[in-house]
Amino acid sequence: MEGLVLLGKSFASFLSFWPIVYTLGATLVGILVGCMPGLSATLCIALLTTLTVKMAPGDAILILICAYVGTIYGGSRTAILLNIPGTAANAAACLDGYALAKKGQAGRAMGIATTGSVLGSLFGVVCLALLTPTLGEMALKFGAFEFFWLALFGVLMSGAIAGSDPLKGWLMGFLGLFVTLIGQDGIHAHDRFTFGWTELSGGVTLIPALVGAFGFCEILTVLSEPMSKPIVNSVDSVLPRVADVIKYWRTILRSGVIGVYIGILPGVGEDMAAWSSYAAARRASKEKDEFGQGSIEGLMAAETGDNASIPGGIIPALALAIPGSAPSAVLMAAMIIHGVQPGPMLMVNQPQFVYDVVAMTTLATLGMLFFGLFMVRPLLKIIQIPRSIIMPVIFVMCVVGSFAIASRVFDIWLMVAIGVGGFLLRRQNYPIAPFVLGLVLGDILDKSLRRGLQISNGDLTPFFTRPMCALLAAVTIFTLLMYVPAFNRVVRGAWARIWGFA
Amino acid sequence: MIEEEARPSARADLYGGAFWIALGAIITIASWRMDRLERLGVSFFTAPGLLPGILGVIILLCGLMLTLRAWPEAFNSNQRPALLFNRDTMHRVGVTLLLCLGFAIGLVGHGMPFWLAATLYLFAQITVLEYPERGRKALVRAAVIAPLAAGAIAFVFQTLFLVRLP
Repeated sequence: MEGLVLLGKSFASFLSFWPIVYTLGATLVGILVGCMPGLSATLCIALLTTLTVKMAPGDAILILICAYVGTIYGGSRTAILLNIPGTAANAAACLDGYALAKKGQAGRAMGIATTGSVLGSLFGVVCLALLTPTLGEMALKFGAFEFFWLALFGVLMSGAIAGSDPLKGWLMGFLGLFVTLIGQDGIHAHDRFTFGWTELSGGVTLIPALVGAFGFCEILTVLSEPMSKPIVNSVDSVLPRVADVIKYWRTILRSGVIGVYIGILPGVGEDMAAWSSYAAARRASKEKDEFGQGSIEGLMAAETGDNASIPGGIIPALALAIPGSAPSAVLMAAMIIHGVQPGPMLMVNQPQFVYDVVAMTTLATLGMLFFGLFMVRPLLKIIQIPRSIIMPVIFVMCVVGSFAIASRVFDIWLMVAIGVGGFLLRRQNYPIAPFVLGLVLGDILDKSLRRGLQISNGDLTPFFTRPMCALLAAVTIFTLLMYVPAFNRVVRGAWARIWGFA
Repeated sequence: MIEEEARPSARADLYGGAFWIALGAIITIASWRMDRLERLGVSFFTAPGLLPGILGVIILLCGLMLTLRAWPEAFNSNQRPALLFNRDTMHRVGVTLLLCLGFAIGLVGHGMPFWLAATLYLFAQITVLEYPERGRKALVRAAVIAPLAAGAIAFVFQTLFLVRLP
């Protein structure tokens, strides 16, 4: 009951002129960024964080959440019209969305994407409202030992799933963890790996690092490819059909659950939510053959899954200070910049804020619905702006964005160094997402390990014997071992014997 | 979207493995030699070099695994060379990098007004990217777009959102 009162207060506080203007403006900016292949939700939030740094915390976070929801949704436009996912999360939407567009049903496909995104996002919002306080309450019992495993689990999961080669993913995760340890340590304020360079004492700041990893790195990647002019398919009516929603309600519900679940898992982003929802829908479908040929069900599943994972990713960021995805990691960093400290104490110190986020995400979803229904054709124009103009302009914004938080020229150099390094590593098939998660979780991992060892006087037993630690350790070690071929074969064999399929 | 010829070969992974081994070893040694603050009564378990040291060892081991995995295939005579880019890509990346670094490190933060530095960079970058397709028209296009975009960015960040520019 208390939760409902807080939620009501939150909604009431946002139903005024400026919050509505911010909602519509930021959602539109998000959709436009999402429409442009190469620009990610992470970059959009990172740049907007720097732009809104002087604003009131509530307004700034509202803008960031609206941009986040808008970007993931906007990426489906290019997936449907150009067969190029606007963001990684929309890759699954390419399969059936583009096939529908080729059949002259681009508008219908966009209507399905809008419906799926809105319903997925609303389902996620309900889970956000219900699960965040519960998880926060559970997390109050967590100590250094549990947080150590949560941070480690996040980095390892992200490394295993983000790319095609888990070993390279883990290397990037460990590199991210190491890079975040550069500078003064959080317990004794001792300089680590600064080589007497005062500017490094402050450590590697998250926003410039993210702008480098997702902005400059992406700009170099896009500009390293030959320029081509996009050819946009014609668009029919974009109004969603109620019959499609009713027919596929099971798919929507299933994808919503999968999206939220994957969102909650530390380090596993929206793209995995979309692919998992798509795969589950295909397995359960009576029209399996249509998948990849323009299946309404497939497109609905992918778009519901990725948008449901947005609130899903915010849940652990708020309750545990462990983000579910790279964009939610930036969102969490922005919250800290604005004086909100996510983590188990959030529900104790600022319970209203959790419900504010629920209200913000709901408003963002309504903004997405508005633009999805009424602004399709003008939005298509943005797709046709050449990358030779967009990318240099984005780089200028990356430079401003890196500088803006701390007004240090050093942060611009940092952004450039991480961008170039990330670009070279990406060419060698090293994924960037685990590196970013390592950057976010490094401090938690470092403090948890050392505090835990100090409490136990060097005894490692509590890291394995406390109930939650035992569970997290078992899952982490099992996940790691599943990448050892011999172990994987044994497990799959046993699974097949017990359940009759592998 | 890595081009086929630039996909990492086993040989590239071999070099990559060597890089990670070296990095892991450097981190481990530097962590081991880091001040453990014993004179301040700090426990060994909270020494600043503990986690970096562990990470150094893990990076070294992962690098070793990458090297061992790539080893048998790397010396196969049919193996593609460990090139990161083909010639065209190298040219595009080289020019883009030069302009970006010139702007971010050479122009910004050295007293030149930001809008002017941004205009110069945008003009050069747009011209370089569009010239092969549009020829001299690219110059005109860049001359129009660069000051407008630079001015708009400066206005939005500095005037509307009160953010300091470099």
